[in-house]
This record gives sequence, structure tokens and C-alpha cells, in this order.
Amino acid sequence: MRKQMLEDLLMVHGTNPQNWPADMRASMETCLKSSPRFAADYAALARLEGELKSCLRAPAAPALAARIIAATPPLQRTYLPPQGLSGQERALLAACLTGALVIGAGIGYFIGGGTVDDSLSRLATAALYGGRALI
Amino acid sequence: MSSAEDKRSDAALMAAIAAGEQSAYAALVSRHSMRFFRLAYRLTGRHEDAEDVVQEAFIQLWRAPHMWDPAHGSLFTTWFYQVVSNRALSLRRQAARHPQEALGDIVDSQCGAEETLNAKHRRLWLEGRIRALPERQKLALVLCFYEELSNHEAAEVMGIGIKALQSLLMRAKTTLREDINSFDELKAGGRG
Repeated sequence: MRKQMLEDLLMVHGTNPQNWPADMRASMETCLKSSPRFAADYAALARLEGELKSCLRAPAAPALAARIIAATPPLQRTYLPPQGLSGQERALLAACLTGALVIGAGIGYFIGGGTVDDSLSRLATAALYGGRALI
Repeated sequence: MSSAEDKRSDAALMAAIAAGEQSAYAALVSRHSMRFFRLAYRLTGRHEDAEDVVQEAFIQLWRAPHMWDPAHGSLFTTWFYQVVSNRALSLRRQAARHPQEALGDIVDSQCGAEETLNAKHRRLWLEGRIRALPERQKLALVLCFYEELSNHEAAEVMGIGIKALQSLLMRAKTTLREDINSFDELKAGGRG
């Protein structure tokens, strides 16, 4: 193995043999043992890595997880009809929803004692209940 | 069960988050917030910015968990490294346009009393050189060297091929080695 190749491999994979490619490890180790010059280059690179490791140490942020969780707003997911329905399935879904509305309105009408002007809100509520029960 | 004790895999937690389970979200945040904070800190150089970046990334995940699709084959962490690094680098670019805001706490309070002035000076200088690396080289170095991702994972995070990643890594380390050599030569020259 040439010096340049060894140096490139060390630059890319670092000086820890555990990170070296399995198929190159044995020849890299032999190469390092064979020449004091290679060993010196390896030592210089290991020093560089040591210096780099001492840099960019992130400080502690013990409250970060709690801060993120506290800052996360509750979900506001709106109802959307299921995706990928065929035309026929969409028509069926629309028919069910309309049917539920009509039945709900009917129940509301009877609860209201057959008078339309009795309470429109009661009618609407019953329609909603009827619709939800059917859906 | 506290969120830290949740033993479910990241993928299982993400599925639960998609179903609106808040405890799964809390577990995922507890498990990974520090790891991604370290990444963001190394890329932005500011504690507050790094916290903001990670917080925004997690909130985005909560609102739109389907943005990670396990069917694409990447791990949750690989995908989230991408999200956080994109946000951090974008913030860094904005800060670079307003240099007075970019100084921040790069020189932080971690220099213990035990560190000699020389060593401290050298470390801060080297940190400055790392931060001055071109964006892609810096990201490659942070992912592979500091975050200890495999070259394959780092390449996936960066959306580049393995050869391109290796080339970025080599250029970054070569530049830093040359910088250190010139620093040492200057120091030796100053003494002589």
C-alpha cells in the first residue's frame, strides 16, 4: 500500500481501526507496522483527531426536552375524507351522510312534538346525534 | 410509565405520534433531544439557536409526522438529522447575513480553570477554523467525526454519494491539519 493511499484511508475513516473497512484493515495494520514514517503520520493524524475532539463540545441542556414538550401545541387535526376512494365509494359515503342527516332531522321533528317552530336548535342537535350514530 | 422509559422503537413511536398519542411524542423528545441539540449546537455555535432549532424541528414533526416515511428505507434518526441540520444551516446562513447577531456564545463558559491559557487559546482558534469551513465540509465532519455516524449514514443525511462525502471529509481534515501546522509554525517563529 502506498503512503498516499494509507493517508487517504486514515483521513476518511479515522485512526480508530474499528472504523476501518473490514477488507482493508489487515493491510492497513501491516503497512503501519512496516514503516516508522507511516507510524509517524498515523500519530500526527491521531493528534489532530484528539485536538478536534476537544472542540465544539456542546453544553448541557437539561431542561430542553421539558421545554420542547411544553411548547408543543395540542393537535388540531381537521376531518378529511379518506383519500383514494373511487367515485362509487364517494357516492356511497355522500348517500350515507345525507341519509343520516334526514333521519336525524326526522327524529328531531318527533322529539319536538311535531312542531317545526318549537325549537330549531333541538332539531339541529337531534340531526347531529342521528348523523353521528350512523357514521 | 415515564416517557424516558418507553421501550418502543422510534418507528413504533412515530406510528403512535401519527395517531395523535402525546406520550409517544414525549418519549421521542426525551430520547433524542440532546443528540440533536449537540448537532445543532455544533452547526450554529449558539446555545439558544440550537435549542430553538431542535424545538422547531420536533414541533414540525408533531404537526406532520407523515413527513417521515419508513417505506423509503431511512431510519427515523437519519431523516431527523437531515431536518435538524437543514434548519441549523439555514439559521447559520441568516446569521451570517447579520454578523452582529452571529457572535453569540461561540466563546462559551466551558473553559475550565484547569485549562492553560495557551491550550484554551488554541482550542478556541481551532473551533473558529472548524466553523470557517465551507458548509458541506463542516456538516460532513460534524456528522462523521462528532456524531460518529458511519460514512454511509452521513452520506444519506446529506443526500450525496459516499465518494462525495469522503472527498468532503478529506478536504475538511486536510484544511484543518494545514491550519494547525501554520499555527504551530507561527508560534514557533514567534518564540524564535
